[in-house]
Amino acid sequence: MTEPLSDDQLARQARASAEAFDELYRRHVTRVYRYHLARTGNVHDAEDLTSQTFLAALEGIRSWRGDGSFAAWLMGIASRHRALLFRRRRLEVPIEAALHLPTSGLSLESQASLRLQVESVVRALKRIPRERAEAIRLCLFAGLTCAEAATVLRKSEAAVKMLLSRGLRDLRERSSLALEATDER
Amino acid sequence: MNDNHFLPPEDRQLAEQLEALAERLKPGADFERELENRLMNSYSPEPKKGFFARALPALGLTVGLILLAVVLNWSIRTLLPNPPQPAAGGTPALSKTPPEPIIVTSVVTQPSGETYDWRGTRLILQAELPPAPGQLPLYEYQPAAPITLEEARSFAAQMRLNGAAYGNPGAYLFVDGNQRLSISAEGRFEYLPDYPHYPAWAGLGNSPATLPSNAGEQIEQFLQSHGFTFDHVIRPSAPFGGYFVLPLTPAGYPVCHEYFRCAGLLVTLDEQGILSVEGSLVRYAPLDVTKTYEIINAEEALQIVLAANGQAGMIEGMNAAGGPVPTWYRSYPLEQTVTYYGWLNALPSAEGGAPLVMLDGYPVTGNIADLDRRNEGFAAARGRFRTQNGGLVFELESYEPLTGFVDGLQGTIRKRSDGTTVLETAEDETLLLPDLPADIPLPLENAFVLGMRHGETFEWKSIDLRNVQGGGGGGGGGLGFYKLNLTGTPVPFPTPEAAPQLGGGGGGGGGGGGNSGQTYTVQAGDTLSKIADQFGVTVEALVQANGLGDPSTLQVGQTLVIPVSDSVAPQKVEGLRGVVNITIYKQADGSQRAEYNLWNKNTPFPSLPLTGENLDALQAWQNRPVDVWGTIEMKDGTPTLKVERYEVPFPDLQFQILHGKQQSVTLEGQTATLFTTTDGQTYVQMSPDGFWVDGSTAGLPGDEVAIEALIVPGEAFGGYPAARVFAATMVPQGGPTHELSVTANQIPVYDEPQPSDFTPLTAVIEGVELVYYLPDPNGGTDITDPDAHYLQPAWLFTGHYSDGTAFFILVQALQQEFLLPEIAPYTQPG
Repeated sequence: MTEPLSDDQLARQARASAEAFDELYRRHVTRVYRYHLARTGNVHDAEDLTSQTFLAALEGIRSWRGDGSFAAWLMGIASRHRALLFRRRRLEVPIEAALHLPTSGLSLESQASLRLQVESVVRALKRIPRERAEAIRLCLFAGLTCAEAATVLRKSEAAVKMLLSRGLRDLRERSSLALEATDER
Repeated sequence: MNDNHFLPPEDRQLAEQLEALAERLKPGADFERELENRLMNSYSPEPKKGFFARALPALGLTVGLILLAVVLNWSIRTLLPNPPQPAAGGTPALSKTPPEPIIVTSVVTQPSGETYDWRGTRLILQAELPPAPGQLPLYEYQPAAPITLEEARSFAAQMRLNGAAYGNPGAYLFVDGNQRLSISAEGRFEYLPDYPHYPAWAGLGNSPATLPSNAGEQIEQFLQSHGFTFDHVIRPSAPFGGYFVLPLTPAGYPVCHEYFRCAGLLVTLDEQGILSVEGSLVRYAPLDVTKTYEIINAEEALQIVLAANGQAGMIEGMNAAGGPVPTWYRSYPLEQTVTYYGWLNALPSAEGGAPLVMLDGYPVTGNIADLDRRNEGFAAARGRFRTQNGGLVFELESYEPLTGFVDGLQGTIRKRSDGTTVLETAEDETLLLPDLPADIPLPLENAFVLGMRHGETFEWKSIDLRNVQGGGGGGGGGLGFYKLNLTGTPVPFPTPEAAPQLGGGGGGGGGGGGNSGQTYTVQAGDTLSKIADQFGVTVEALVQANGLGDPSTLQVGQTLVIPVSDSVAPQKVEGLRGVVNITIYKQADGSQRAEYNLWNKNTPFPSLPLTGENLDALQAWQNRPVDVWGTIEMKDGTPTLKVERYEVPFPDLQFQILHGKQQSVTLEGQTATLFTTTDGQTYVQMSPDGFWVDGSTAGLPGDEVAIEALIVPGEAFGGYPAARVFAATMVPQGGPTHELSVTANQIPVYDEPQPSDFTPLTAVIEGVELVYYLPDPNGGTDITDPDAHYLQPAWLFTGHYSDGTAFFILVQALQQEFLLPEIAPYTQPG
């Protein structure tokens, strides 16, 4: 049984192979989406930004140099698409709309609870220093290691750990987050 | 992230909760599939032959479609056509003569007034508490149906536009010269008098550069000449950089939404006049013309604000307005052939005519025969801008579809020695920026540029300094209003401690607090000081919490309440071993302030700030073990360690870069990582403070890995010597190696956080008034819920913090007898 290709190997192949890019997409779409959801708090914008990120990645994959983490490179693109363009006030699709799929398997109560939790976190993250919030989004939502996040933020790994730690402390001290305890379901 | 073991336990728990939350978020299956299809269709090493091969996602999620949505569907606001007959208090009433414009400006010089302590902030009530009637009626919102063609035409005429209708029921667009009018449902519209002056990609909360001093008069004139005759007030709106025209109910109260959203007309202006008018008027009717309902007065509302105990019945929000943002738009010469990079689309005619083809919102004439809705997309369009029918149009010669999209880049714009102007982005890209306006000051730092890439050039559309302002942005919260109880039979409310909670985790803030709930039964031989020590509280705190007399006598069997220790009895430590971790903050005046922390395992406080003299020598021992003698005491509510002396147990200990391979194992029931160097020496990986097992790995099993490690003599776990790991990286095969170098001994230097991070703010209430509140139907509230349809009286407190942030608080005004102890839906801040 052949070992799965690493992201790095796939990324190099993706220069010429659509299937390789597709595999990278499947591996990373969720983390990019989570990152954008943590940033915007609404599904519609998170989806738009996720599309933008992957379209940009598609453009840029040809110049992928193969040094460093693909995930970090991808999240670098995601974090730079700060502007959701051309947007006026518009109808926001509540998170339930995305969760109302028959396959989502969540009860209405869970969906509402999930929405509230995400919104309280997104709100709280907006109120702490920006870099600390970014560290939290990259490490805890996008699932990057501190080293990878360091690449994205252009800082040392130790600095990222500091940002993460202080950011979490800020969250604890400044906000009351409506989070479920992890041992409950 | 799998390497959060370096975090102190309380932070780690929060991190795990956030990760657990993140785990439950997944993109919708439809969206994922659509995007995948789109990417695969776009994938090609060669440029596509035509638009046609691109699959437009059915859900309309591209940036381009956002632009389309903007151009077509600018607003989703209600429009109220001039009612032929006055409705009974439902529609904004026809007034006899328009009232004088009431512009409320806040001119705060020295805030003066009653001062209160409000959640740790000093609150000054500068406004007078107005009198209010004892009872008021309730109204019900009537959702609008999608606009029909006749209604749209009628409104376009009212807005003095001559033009054909394009679009579909529920989304019509009229173009007349440079004017644009889009209408979606009844009562919701957006009007731009001069589109080239304020194009579709403007906005995003940027306020125009200047606000004319006669804005009120201009607005009144506009209202009169365009058939808006309802009673209203005009208020400046800092978050939106314009003015709200708020309709008044028959009794004269303004209709309001939450979060500074506009329940009327939002008008923006600049020195040239009106820039935009967005309508979001709501239609409503009395709930029951025979009934009025008792409300609380302003004083009672203020008491609810001050109590701030996490009760519901309140919605609040704040907005740090960015202020006017200097913006430059690209202009093109008339009657000269240019290549324009933008979004080409076609709107169907609503009247059976030819579609309206547009390029970034400019009508397109010329070679447009083959363009219809099926082949929209980004294009490089060759042609000329000209004036036609009083407006700017683009005469198209030819176009080439593009794979690309509008990007927003941040960087510095500068002029090169050869005279060309470039944008140097934060990602070290350099792109040419042609045709810059003469009045842009160069070099321009922190510029935000919207446009499209084309080879080495960035075909820009706008340049602004939105990010120079720093976080404009807002937030909000509060549990929301209570649902209404209109049955006539009051429902009892639980006592304040048990405030209604929303599903899942605890709501906005109530709960907890007060005493820890811990008690202790006195036993033979106990003394107060012994008990105080045992629970880590002071004797004084115990005495106070239990109302003990002096001299205090304890009785065996007596139950003592143990107070939450916000004070800690001073505690001596001797030879406490920990890791010193230092951060330096650069001050504005160039000096530096060092912060010392001791990460330790043997006190209740894993990270202890150090105070004392002569700590600077510790800077040589960043991230290494130190033994400390001193006293733990409370300082400003934080336990700190006052250092008397310290010793360095391992003066020769250095960080090392080790190369080797990792292996995931289970040791003593935990997931651990063993690191075996190329020399065959095996360590178990630990966190930088040495307290926890570091089970993370870099790369895949079998990869060569380099780690920055500290091997402290005598440390071991699971039978292996310990290596504290500060950084790890995979060493890629072939290719250039990342040289991992020792950095853990370095002290990070940051700019001292701005005072607004830490200085307590003062809040000034500048306005208190009675309004009618309706959750914004277009803000994401669940409007299928009947509770979201009530227009109900509320007390609106508005004001500013001392850092300029605007805030509002809406307090539900109905008396409790008309409320249910359940939360009604409302718009979450976005």
